[in-house]
Amino acid sequence: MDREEKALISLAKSGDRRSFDKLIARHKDKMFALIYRMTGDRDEALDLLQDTFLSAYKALGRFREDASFSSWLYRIASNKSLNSIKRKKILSFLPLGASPKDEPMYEMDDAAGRSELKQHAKKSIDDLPPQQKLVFNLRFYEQLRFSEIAKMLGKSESTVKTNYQKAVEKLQKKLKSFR
Amino acid sequence: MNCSTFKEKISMKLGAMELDAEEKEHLEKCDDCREYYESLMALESTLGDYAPEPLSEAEFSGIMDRVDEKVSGYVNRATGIYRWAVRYGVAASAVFLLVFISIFSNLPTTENSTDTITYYLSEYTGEVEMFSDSWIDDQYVDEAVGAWVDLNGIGSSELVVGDLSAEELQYLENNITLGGLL
Repeated sequence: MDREEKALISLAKSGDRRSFDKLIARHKDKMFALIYRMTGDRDEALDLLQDTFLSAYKALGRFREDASFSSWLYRIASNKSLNSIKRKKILSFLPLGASPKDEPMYEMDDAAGRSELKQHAKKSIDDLPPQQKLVFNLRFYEQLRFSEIAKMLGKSESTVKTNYQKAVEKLQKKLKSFR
Repeated sequence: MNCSTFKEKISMKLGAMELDAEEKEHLEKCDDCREYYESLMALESTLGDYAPEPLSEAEFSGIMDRVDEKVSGYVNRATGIYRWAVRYGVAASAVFLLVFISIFSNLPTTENSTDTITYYLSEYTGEVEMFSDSWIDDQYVDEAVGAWVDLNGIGSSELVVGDLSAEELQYLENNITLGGLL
């Protein structure tokens, strides 16, 4: 955590909204990418991102600065994503008329959109169990260290590593048959 | 280094693949592991390209506007009538809770070692229900009375009270009047 970020946190904690906004702006893209990869739906990701920032605002007073602000925010975003996945799973069992989307919608750049393999890769990630998907996203895309992920999620490092390894095995198996 | 250790170690490195000297040495000697390594590299390349379209400035400012609105809502609610209502609402709830606890704390619990607990099949609900001797069970008494009334009709003075304890009988006398049933 750099000095400027520390200053922003301190000001935001004392109620300065502009500092809070600046702080959030620094991390918005990473949080959005994580939530988007977890949900596979842009609109839902935007809603969850908003919830994440709101929760962060409300809980900022309880943020202990022994962890980095981004880890703390990742944790909130992770919980929001996992809860949303859980909620969708529950709703999918209820006959409520509008059923949740069977296939997640991905918006990709043109090059990726042309590639069937990439589309399949994204679908394979989405099919991972939520915890494995979360660990995979945090490690592979966000490049966090296993120890950081473990601390953030309140799990042991070996649990996190096992989840990552299982995710990699599943992705390999799925994509091997496709390649 | 054996093959399973090698595979385990490099699968953990997916996304930040840098082999150490020992791993490189193993890779040169083992075809199977080289194939595994190449498949991991292909996977890394395939997955690595997935970058969601970034958050636009308009989307971000829209989100922050809505956060602002909600935060202002909290601030407004922290003042005036809302704060007054919350304060007195909490006080009223606390009083209610105390009264509730004081009433129900007098009831014996199943932890009381002198209780005799009986399970019976209720004719009315068709379910197994529990009855504790020392706990006046309104439902049980009502059922017993109801069953008796069904059988004998109201007005009979021959209430079969054998199934009821003295405590329950007392309860009936104090609380239930069924047209001079007792």
